[in-house]
Amino acid sequence: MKRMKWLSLLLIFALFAASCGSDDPISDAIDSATDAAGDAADAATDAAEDAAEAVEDAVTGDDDEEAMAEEEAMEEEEAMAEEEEAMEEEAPAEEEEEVTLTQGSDLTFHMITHSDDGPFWSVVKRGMDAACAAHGVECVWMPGNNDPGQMVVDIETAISEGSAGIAASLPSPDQLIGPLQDAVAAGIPVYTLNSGLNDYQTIGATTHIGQSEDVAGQGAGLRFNALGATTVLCGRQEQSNVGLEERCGGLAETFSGTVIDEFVGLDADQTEQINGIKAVLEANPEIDGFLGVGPVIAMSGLAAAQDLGRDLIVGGFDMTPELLDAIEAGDIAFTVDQQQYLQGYLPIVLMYLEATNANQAGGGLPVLTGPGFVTPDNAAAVKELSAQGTR
Amino acid sequence: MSDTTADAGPQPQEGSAQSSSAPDERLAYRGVFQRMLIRPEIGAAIGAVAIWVFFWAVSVPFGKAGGAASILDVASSPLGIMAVAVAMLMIGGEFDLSTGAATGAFGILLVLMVRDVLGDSGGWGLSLWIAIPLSFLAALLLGWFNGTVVDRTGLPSFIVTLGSFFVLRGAKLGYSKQIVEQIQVGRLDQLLLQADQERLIGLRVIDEAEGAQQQALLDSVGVTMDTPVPGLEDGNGTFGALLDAVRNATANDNARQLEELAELSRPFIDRSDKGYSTLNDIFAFEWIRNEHIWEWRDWGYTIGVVAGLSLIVLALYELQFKRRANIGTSGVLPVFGGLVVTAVGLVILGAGTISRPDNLLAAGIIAATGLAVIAAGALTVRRYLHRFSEGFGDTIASLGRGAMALPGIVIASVGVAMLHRTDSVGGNTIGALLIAAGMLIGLVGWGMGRYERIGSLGSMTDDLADAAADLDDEVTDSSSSSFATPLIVGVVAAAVGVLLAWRMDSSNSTDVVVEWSLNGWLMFFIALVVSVGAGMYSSIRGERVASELTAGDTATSRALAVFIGTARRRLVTMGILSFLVTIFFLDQATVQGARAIFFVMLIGLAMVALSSAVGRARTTRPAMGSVLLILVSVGLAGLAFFVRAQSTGPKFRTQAFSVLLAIAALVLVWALATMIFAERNQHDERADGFGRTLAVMGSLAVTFGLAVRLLAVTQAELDAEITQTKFSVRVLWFLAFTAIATWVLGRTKFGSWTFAVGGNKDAARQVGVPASRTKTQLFMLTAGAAWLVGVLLSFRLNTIQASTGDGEEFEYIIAAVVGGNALTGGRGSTLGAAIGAFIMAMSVQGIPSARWNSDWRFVFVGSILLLAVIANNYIRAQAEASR
Repeated sequence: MKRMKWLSLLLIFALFAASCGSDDPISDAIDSATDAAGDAADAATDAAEDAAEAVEDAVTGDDDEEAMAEEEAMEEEEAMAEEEEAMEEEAPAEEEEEVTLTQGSDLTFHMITHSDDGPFWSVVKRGMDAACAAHGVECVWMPGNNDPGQMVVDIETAISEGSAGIAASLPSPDQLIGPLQDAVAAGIPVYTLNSGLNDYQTIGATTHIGQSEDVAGQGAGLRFNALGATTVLCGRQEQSNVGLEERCGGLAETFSGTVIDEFVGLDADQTEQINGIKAVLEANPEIDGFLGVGPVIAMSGLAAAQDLGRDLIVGGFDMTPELLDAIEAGDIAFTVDQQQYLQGYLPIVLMYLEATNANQAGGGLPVLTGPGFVTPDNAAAVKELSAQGTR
Repeated sequence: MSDTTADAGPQPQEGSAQSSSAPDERLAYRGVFQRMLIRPEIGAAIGAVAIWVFFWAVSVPFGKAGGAASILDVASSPLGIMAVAVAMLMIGGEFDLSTGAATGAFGILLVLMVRDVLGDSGGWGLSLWIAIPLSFLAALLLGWFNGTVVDRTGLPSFIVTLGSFFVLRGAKLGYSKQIVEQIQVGRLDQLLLQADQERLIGLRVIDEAEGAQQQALLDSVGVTMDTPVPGLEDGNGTFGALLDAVRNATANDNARQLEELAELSRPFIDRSDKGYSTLNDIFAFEWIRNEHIWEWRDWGYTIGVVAGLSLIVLALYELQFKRRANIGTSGVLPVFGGLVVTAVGLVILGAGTISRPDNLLAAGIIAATGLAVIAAGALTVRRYLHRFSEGFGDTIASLGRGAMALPGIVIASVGVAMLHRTDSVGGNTIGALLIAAGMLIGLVGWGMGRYERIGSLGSMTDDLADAAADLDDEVTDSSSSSFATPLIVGVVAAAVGVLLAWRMDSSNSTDVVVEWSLNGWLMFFIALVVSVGAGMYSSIRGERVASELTAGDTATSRALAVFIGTARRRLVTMGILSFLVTIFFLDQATVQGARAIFFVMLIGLAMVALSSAVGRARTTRPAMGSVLLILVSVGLAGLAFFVRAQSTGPKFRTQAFSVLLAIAALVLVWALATMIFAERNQHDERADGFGRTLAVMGSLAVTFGLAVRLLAVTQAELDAEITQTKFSVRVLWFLAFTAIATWVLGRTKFGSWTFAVGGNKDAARQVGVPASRTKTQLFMLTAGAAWLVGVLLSFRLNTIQASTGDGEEFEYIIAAVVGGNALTGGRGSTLGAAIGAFIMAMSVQGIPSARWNSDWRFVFVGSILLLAVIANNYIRAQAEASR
């Protein structure tokens, strides 16, 4: 009985939590995530100031200030602050000369990303290499392997090496905004790429080069309209990923029919994913379209539809060889391609132009590289380009 | 948790109440239900049934064949196979955190081994026939490594295997990217790359290096330039001629001729499939239900389920009641005679009532089923054949007594047939009543010939009088907790339920009484807090209040004292739980709907409470227990009719109604049997053996019935355009794996060693168990299971993501724990782990099926798993306390 009591208490709390939810959990989640991000960013800035003080205090052996810094980023910020001091001693000249036009040949650009060197990022890198070769500049590729700490170090290295331009992706803005602001303060042109759409202005970056998840989802919605779908299941492979929810949100904005937005199972267990999609399809017989917001889940959607013998219009995000084959065979209608080659190529071009010609592209707005679409019409061509590593 | 702590756990007051009277608990005889209840998987099994019923009730697709296929798919591979293996390792006292990553790793390893020998992206290009055993060896090596390191270093196994986990995880990503420049390794179904195919059929311009590669490729598929090519020119062309023709056509850019030649060269490309098509049937065969029409499916299903359930009921009788001294083999005969009659009766019904030209087939199938059952019976009888020589006279005598079973079986069969043949409500009732009457007569008749009668009717009335006196005593002494408590709770709940149903009957009113808004939720929450507070307060203060009231010594205060003193906690928690369940269903409740829900909740509560009262009363006052059991049966029957009268869903009106009624009839029959026949109080090997045989046969028959229903469709269903359903051979792999693991654990030396090393490794070693070897072999078992899953996955998906399986190892452990396995080792069951996998699968599949918001998915899954584990522990604690 004692256990039953605890259980009922637990259930009550769960239900109370449920009662606090509004009708629109997605936008709420985004709102709260944005708020949280904003708060965290503020906190990070505070922490950076605290850290700077802490460094000074540390010289005199006073530890009190450390208690004030609560963020996990504390140590990195501290390291950054030290670097900053070091950098100020080493390269004061760059700060004074705001606009220095240089000859192209001795420019060095740094591209600092959270890259894992997988199929996606290797295409970005090829884009960068091609642009650098075309403009005869030197480029440094710094893959962060999804480790923000590594990226902070890379940014500081780039600043201290006197980079002519930094292009960075911002998977976790909280840790990276500070160092990039320092780069801007040091007079280095900064561009964000891939992720960072919400923060490039805070940093003072010239522009952002990437795909807005929202716009990509909207594009998919228009596609489904054109293909004549009436009810689309937007299947997500992660439970709480803002980017994926934005894709589904964008779909709902432009799609004229009903959108059912569900988390259906992780990529790590495709069996569960396929059956999760099947369960939603069976519970909602009116569904006639499926958008998987990743390449693996798109294939899972196709498998689920084939298992049930249903004829769905399937759309996907990004590319894998299987997905391209399925598009070529006509089983999948399209995939949203964010054309990441551009995300490697364009920053170099823009940084080159800013460094040599003082041009600032974008006009304060982001430069979008997507959504491009791969459909049965262009699948064969894209497949060939993909084999060459540029799509 | 060890046995002793479970004993001392949640219900000490019940454990201590009666157990002291037994002379020595180790020698005490346990009845069949107690023996069932102390199985480690029983809690999980009950939980699984409850979850299935719950989702069946709230979701449309869940209970259909498609839903079943999905649940089976998720539960089988990877989850089920891994859970079973992990459970064995856990029983052996160790953990393996590398299992999740290992599933993907062995899949990737397999694909890499067989991929293109000459392709652009690397690989070994082995035949699948070599690669599969080779990757299995690699798996065993991993298991051996894990086991040996754990053993030699003495480090906790989760630290060591965590290391293996990261190594595997890194290796998966590293190798995939190193070798195929992708974060996935794929296309097991396209073992030969496009480039190789072009090489093989000479489409490429062959220079010297490529020529060598082409030669190697030709050798690998066993083709020479002189190999004849059927269909080329006059049918006698050679492979060399084919290559020349292809090269000419390529040079001349003759697309049409190229196409023809490509068709001719297809056999040579297929020859390089390296065993894929054969093995694909073994590892990834799929049965599409819609393609298998069996028009008489429902008959096969019904016969299987009815015959199976009867056998299981008979098995319970055999295990519970005391055999006559002079029984011989007699009892065996009437039941199989009865089954023959059932089969014949169904044949007659099948032939007579269905006037369609293909009824001959129906009769044939039914007769065949009957014959199969008889054959199975004959096999069983053979085991007891030697008894014939001893007491043939007794046999005849008991056959005469047991013959009463036959009319019962016939009547029941007619009832079943009627239920199937009529659509009218009245016909259903008559059919159901016939079934109940048939069951009653048949089962009592079966018992008449087989079991000893209880004493006279007089002794029973004495017993009842004693029980009434007990009840009176307990009402005055509220601290005692025997069957009085649940009895009062049950009666009160049933009375309130009936009263509510009666008072709220506003005939099809559609008035809305509850509409949940945010404020409504908040109000509800406040009400809950208040009621929980009150419940807790009364729990703490109840004893004192009760004793004060008892001092008053008036009838009212005594009754109140009992109510407060004994029923308070149960009532409060049950009330809250039923409210909670209620609100899951209510968005807008009509008077009608609210009434139905409250009635069902309260009667359900009453049934549970009364059943608990039965269990307690039976230990001291068997007759009282039987009377209460009849009460339960009446309550269930009432519930069944209420459901049929009030429910708008056809699912409830027909299916839930008949099942409830059948259960009510079974309970009634059981109650009568316990009044008439003496229960066994000592072991009887022969009876136990026969009972088990019956139970196994019954389970097989039920399984057969269910399989018939799941695997075949009827033309009517096809015409109604049901959704396509696929069943995969993976389910069979899972079932086979579970069966073998259960057998190994329960029946072999290795199984006993596993329990021993999990309980206490050093003690096990002292008595001669090779502890280190056993543990290492267990690690090899989990790695082997991961390999099996990896193979199944690669044949299913053809492409394995580098991330496949990462982090899934905890799901396996959770499934094992939900199935009743102890985290501390030395106790558990593989069958339980398999059931745990089913519970997890049902939880994740039920939520989208019921159209619940997937954002809350983990809240639901968590609650369900928590409930399952709590129910499991609770039931086991109860069972162990009642030993």
